[in-house]
Amino acid sequence: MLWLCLHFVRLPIESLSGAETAEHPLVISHANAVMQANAPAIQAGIRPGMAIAAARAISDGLRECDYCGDREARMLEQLATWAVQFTSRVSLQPPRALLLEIGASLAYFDGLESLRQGLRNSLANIGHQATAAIAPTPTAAWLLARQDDTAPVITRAELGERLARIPVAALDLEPARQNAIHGLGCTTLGDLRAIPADGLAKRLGRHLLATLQRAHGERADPRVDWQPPPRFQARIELPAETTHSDRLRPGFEHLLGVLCGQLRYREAGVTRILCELHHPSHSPTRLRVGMSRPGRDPHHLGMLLDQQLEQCRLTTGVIALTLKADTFHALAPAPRDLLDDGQQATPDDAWHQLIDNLSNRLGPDRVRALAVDDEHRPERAWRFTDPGRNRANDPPALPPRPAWLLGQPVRLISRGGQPHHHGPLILEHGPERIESGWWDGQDVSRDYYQAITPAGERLWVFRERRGERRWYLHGLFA
Amino acid sequence: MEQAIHQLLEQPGIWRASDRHAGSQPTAHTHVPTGFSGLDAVLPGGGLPARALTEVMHARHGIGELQLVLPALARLSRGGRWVALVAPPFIPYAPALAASGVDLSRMLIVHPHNDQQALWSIEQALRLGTCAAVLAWPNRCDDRSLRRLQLAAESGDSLGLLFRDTAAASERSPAALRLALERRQGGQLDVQVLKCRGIPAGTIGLEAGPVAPEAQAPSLALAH
Repeated sequence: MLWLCLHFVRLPIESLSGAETAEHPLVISHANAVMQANAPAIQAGIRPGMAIAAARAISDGLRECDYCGDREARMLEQLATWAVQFTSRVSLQPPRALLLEIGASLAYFDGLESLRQGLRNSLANIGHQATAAIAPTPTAAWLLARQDDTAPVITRAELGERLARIPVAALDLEPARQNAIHGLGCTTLGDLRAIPADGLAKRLGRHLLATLQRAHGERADPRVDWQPPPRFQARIELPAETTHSDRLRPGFEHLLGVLCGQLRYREAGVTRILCELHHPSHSPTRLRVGMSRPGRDPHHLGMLLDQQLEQCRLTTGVIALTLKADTFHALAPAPRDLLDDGQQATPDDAWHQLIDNLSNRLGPDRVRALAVDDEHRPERAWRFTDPGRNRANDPPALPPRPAWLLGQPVRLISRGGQPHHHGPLILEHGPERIESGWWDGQDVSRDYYQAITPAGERLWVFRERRGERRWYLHGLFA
Repeated sequence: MEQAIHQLLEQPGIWRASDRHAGSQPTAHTHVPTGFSGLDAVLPGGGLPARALTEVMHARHGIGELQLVLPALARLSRGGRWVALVAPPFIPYAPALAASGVDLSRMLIVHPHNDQQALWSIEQALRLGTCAAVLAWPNRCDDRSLRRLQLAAESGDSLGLLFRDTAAASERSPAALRLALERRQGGQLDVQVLKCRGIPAGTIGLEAGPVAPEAQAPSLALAH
């Protein structure tokens, strides 16, 4: 087994959408001190650990967000859901790390380097950064990642030597125990290993001994695999209320990346996603994105969502975003689509892209296809269908039909029995008698004619065969 | 300076009226025959320009404006790409289209809510390269939007057909081809070429026979 640990060093600040890349200085504060600062804040001279009052003093317009452990925990779970696309064995190592068992997926990814590249690209797309360390045991991978030691340890033989160099501080122990270790004159894990196991357990506790043994693979280190939820729902908060749709984009990129990671794992796609923009006091603004066939391309989904965002005028500020997807559709795994973001577009892809673009902007009922029905009543001899679903029909053998049909027949005035439309009509062909529909109460009994107006328009008109025998215009021979 | 002008003139969106054959020689691939031999004989390349905008101006619906393009549409719909109708003024009647040889499984009907959406939809359909032809009935269309549509038609290798009121004939337009239709007494359809890339400035009057040119569309033959 081979474990890869992703240590999300910047998780507190990354838990707020766009905080890391914001143009203004922003800090995550905890217990009146700076916990983490974004790049503009660091540039202004703000450092972690600095008192918040001091940070305010050196930076005008500093934005502060309180640290929230739950928010960070939710974010780690979302990242675990994103990570299942790389291996089904992902486990949480709170507060800021994930462990991925990659031994089984290496062959699929064409080796370690290509897997690491894939992880890096995918992380960049969803706006996160992490240190990735690799070792034969999960605890060792975690320790190396915390030390920023990214050179992979592949065999157990190298493990002891590499772990021996790790400083004791990496163990993240409480201060009392840390001091006790210093009292023994130990500064690295190698020093601790030199102490006989019995003595170590007695002086520093069984827990520490167990951690060291797990790191070296001398003790079982079971992990609980993360199970992505069966329905997708993820939320991300914004560092400050905003009405700029541009500021919502990083959050949606993250959420879509997480969704699509899970979809790859499930070999599934979605046709519908629901996005909610949460306001402080109003009910959320809902954006619905639909696709004509199941997909899991975050770029395509992002583009469709962008179109919706462009159209919705935000009048109240947004403080958080939610992305939901209920139904997953099985989707054949595209070969190598895990690492190839630049997939070759086929003509079929372009067609679906067009349908999706149009349906999302205009509404799905505005983008239709046509079908012929085997019916004598002209208004029922056709229908709208969903694009791409209709089959080519053999046209029924009929007398000429007009290319344009009116939604409702329009009554024509008649003078002395002759129908008028832009002047008196000359009937050129007909009648074609259409009598049908007695079985459903919508029966018609009409005589159809081809007629021509003085202006040269060619019309399809009929005369009722019952009642007042009125004339109607029903189509145009365009 | 001269180089800059040359660069400018090489842009696909610019054509010079004096150029008989701007860019490549017209071939069957770059032109779509209408199937009306009288008209095809006059048009450079023997048909409608395949990756450009064509405007068809007519005062009334139902004078044969679709008749003029249906044989071409029937052929294009069977060539592997789609045909889109944007903002049609009436219901495109499926039995008639099928009877004239159009493959309905390749037809897309788009109903935008307003003018702005209509122009956007036409541009999308032209640009994405998935439609062999886009027929549209925009309400209003200024020079700038037409220019965008012209560029979209070029980049998407799509035939753009705009059906407009005769009043638009007096407006400026970057379309490669502008035709005006009029139905004469006696059933004859007059096709007037108002503007055409490759034909020197000036207009040519043309009379296209009112009979269907190909066996593909016999049922839509106009009666005399």
